[in-house]
Amino acid sequence: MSDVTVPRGGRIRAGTIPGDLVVERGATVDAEGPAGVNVSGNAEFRGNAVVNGPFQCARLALRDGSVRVSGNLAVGGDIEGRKSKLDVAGNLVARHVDVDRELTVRGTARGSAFEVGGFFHGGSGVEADSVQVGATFDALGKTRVGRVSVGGRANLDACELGELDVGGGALLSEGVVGGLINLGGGGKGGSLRAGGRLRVGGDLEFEEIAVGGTVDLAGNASGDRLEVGGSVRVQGFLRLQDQIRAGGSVSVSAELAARSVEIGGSLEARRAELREKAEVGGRVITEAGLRASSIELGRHAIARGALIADRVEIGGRSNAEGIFAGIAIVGSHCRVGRIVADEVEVGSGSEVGQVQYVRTLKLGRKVSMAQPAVKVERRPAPPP
Amino acid sequence: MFADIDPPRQGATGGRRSPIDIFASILEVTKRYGGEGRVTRISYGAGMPVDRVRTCLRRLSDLGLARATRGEEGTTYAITARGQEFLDTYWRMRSFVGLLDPSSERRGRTREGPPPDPR
Repeated sequence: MSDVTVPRGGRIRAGTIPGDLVVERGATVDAEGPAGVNVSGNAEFRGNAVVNGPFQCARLALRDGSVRVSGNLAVGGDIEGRKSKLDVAGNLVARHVDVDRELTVRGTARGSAFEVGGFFHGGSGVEADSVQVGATFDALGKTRVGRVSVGGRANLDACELGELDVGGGALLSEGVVGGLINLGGGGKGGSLRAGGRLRVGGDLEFEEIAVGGTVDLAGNASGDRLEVGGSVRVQGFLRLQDQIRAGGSVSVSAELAARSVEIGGSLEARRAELREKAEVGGRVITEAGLRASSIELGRHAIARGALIADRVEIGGRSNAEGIFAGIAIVGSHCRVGRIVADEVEVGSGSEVGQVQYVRTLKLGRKVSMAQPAVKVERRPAPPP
Repeated sequence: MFADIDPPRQGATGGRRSPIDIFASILEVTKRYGGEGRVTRISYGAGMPVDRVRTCLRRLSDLGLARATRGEEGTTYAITARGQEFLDTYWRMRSFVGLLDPSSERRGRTREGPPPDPR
């Protein structure tokens, strides 16, 4: 074995080095041929250096400098960069990569783990078990990583992740995350799919989100479509172009606006405005009412706040505060405070406080009313 | 609506970072190291000089938001439960700031677009 040392500011041309390589500050290593420089032992760069061509070694150490490799970089073991930057023009393959300041890989980066103190730029794909970045993680191409943890911000093009935990914000073009997505500061996304839970500390903008578990948003959210297996909790407003489908409950502290909702559990919002249909299996609780083109509540539903629509239909044994509709259909054994509609149909055994109708009133057997029904010329306006 | 989402580099209203923004970004970075965060690593993540980060971490430790552990290889820092509580509140508050301050919203919007090319 013969080790090679490139002195400070020196330059060598090398093919195979059958030992270790030490490169001092300001040196340049040129590859002899297209196969590049192949160091059978370890390589250490002590300061800024340039490698022209592909580079291979058993283990790579960088100290106090910026190292640029103009070809592929293949390291059998680990890369350790103290107070260093590493810039690879081609692909990078290593076991464990630990760089203090900045790692740039213009090709594909593959390894078991990447730990970068500052910035990690991936040019055309990152594959790893874990990526941990202090400041910013930018990745173009496909990112396939088990766990991504970023202190600052993550900008990911297309990703398949096990878990995503970002302290600041995230910009995700398209992604599938098996487990948890945790965005401390907020996020912007295209199409996101998460098997587990989505938790966002700030605001969120997205196109389409599909989450198997629960969605918990501390800020405001706007987007196109939201599909959630479990429950949704938004502490600001939720504005969607298309629909919300949720297996569990949906709770929005401010206003909810969407084309339609299909909710298995309960819906709570200060105010809910839907351009088309609202289908809710459980309770509907609003301060300023639920407005839609049509509202359909299941059996045993409870509605606090007005239900305002062209057509409102509530299942049997339900309890509603007020219905303002073109057509109001109330199932049997329901309790309704007030019904104001053009056409009213009340199922048998129901109790109604007050009915005002314009055209028709159909009552089932044993319907009790606190006040006699009143036929009016025009429907009184619903609450604002 | 969408205030900027880049805490380590910008303040809640899009200008310079306030001390609160700085403490939040230091805590977010510290959190990523799971109790093994060294001051140099945290300084790269937070984008601040080591001496300033050290001062901030000392203050965060005094306030019970971070915890310092002295070991053979130097001092490492971890976020505490109270620090996590601070971060949750900080991000919620930023969301309100973005909602109430239209100028910050406009500034946030102008910063949108593709991330800068690192090359």
